[in-house]
Amino acid sequence: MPWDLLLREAFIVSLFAAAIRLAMPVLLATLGEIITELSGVSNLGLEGIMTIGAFAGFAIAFVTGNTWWGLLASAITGCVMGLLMSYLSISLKIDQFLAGLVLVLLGSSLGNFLYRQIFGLSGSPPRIDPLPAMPIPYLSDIPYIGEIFFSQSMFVYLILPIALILWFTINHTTWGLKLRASGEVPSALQSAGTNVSLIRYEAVILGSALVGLGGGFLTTGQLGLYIEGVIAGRGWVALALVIFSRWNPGLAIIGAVIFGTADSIQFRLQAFGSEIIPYEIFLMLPYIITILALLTAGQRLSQPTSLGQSFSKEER
Amino acid sequence: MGLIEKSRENPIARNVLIILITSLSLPITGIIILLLGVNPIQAFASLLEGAFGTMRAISETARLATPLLLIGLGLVIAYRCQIWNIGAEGQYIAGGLGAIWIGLEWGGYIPSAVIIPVMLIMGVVCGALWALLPGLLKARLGLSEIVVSLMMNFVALFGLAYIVRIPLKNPEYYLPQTAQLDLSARLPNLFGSRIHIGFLIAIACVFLVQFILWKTAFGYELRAVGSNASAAEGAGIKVERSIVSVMLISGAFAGLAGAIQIMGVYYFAAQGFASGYGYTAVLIAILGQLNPFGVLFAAFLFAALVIGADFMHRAVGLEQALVHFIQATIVMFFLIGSAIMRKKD
Repeated sequence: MPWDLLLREAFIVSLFAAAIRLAMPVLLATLGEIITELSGVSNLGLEGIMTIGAFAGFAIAFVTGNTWWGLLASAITGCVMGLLMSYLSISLKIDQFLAGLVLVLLGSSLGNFLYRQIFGLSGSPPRIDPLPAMPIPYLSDIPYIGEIFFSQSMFVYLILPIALILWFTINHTTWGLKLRASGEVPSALQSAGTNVSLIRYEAVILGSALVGLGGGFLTTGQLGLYIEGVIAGRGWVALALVIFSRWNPGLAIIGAVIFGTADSIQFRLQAFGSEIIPYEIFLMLPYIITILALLTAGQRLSQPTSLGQSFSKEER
Repeated sequence: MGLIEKSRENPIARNVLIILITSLSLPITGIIILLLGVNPIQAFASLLEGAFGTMRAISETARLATPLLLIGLGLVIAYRCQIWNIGAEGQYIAGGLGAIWIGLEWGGYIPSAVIIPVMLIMGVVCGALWALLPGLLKARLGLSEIVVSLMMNFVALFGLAYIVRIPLKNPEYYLPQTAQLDLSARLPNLFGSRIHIGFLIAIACVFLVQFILWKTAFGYELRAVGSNASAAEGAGIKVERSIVSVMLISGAFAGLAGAIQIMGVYYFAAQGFASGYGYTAVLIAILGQLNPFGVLFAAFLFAALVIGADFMHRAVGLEQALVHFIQATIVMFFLIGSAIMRKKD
């Protein structure tokens, strides 16, 4: 077995370049869930929102021939799912866990059904062109770093500004202050004359849009096709990364890249499976890493105080 | 609003309205079917006919309801304690693999009366063990059991793929799957029907879970932890022990379901053994209102829909996967109905 291949530069560089790409869908979902949870709503439905976002993105990109329309569709689909989650958990005060679990099965089943019904199940699934790589002049010429960070697609470059804007919004704007207050002391926020339910609606819908976009980027930006179970637990991984990152968008990037690296290793090392190390071990890797990542985080320390609790104006 | 206000006070009117709201699932699904260019009335009619039209359909429904019911019952115990085990899929796989391993090793060498109970127990033990890690991490370190149990599903899934590909693979086949269980290691059918005795075990478990929940100190404790963990702790209940116990028990039920499915329906294991029942059972537990008899009803309803979907597929060309969407919308509208009709405290 060519183990020495693993240590060659080209292999390692392409491994990390892929790790950055593979981190993106999970990162978007993690950022979306951070906003959602900071407002005090725990949305467990990520897996379902990503699945329906992945389908909508693929379908629209396939029909229009334009990946960006697909990405827009997946974000809009995410908004709709977020609106549903808000109505169930904020307006009707249905237990957030139950509402989220229903959303998972709703989104996954609808995505898989519509795909089968519209595109059928065939040996060669329909494909679209994923987003092309756009090497940044000069920067992409830097050895190693250039190929890993600056030879990605346009969408990947957009992620860092998105994360920065989110970080800024959360920490340095009035809306961000209200957002965090809504998750910490909703009764005080309400007394101060702010509509807590409205803030939570906004947070859940905006967060879900990012989650849907994450699903859409996986199918349209990256793979160029939809397959059943394509999200493969990434929604749940994002949920773990929210805890790992302690609700901090910056740490979320690190968490997502760790997951992306495990995923990338899994993709590349499958071929090296042998009698001694079955390739299924590599397939398990991202999920085991996720459990380990969760282990490193002190769960309860930085969680928003009112996370998971519904809020009624009367209960002050 | 006046009607809803009045109906909240009257239990019969309340339940009728909840059922009406729940059935909104049909028009919503109908609109999607219509957009796909199929007549929804025809589609629903064929779904019903496929589910209840023949004796064979009814016995198929009972066969499918068996694992769904068992897994759902286990989830009731965990969810009553507010422990959100969503790793039933992995626990089901672990139970099935444990059972078939014993069956393939010893099948034909020892009598049915011995090997069948041993296989069932093996299923229970393996299912419980697969739930142990999420339970311990939750109880000791406060890690989200939701995430850990779900991650364990994927580990189980790839574990299954490996086990049927290498250690337990039948060398006579090209495809990765195990050999068939010896006849002596299979669950006998009831009175010449296609329903196996696992069905009776599942029904017995309905009463068992009802008993555990309402007539034992353990049931009281787990419900106390579920309604207010810190108050329960103050009252001297060992919360950590309750958390691990309910995880083990719900895993055990899922493992038993896996063993019964292998021994009564498939008689071999392949990758397709991971069929998503662990996820469907989450919906079943919620629709059953975490009540064993409610779960019995929900398991039959959902099994009937799946059996009917086959016929619907052949009759009007809609993919079977549609029923999973119908199931999810049923539960969603049921939650909406219950929330709207909830009595004001």
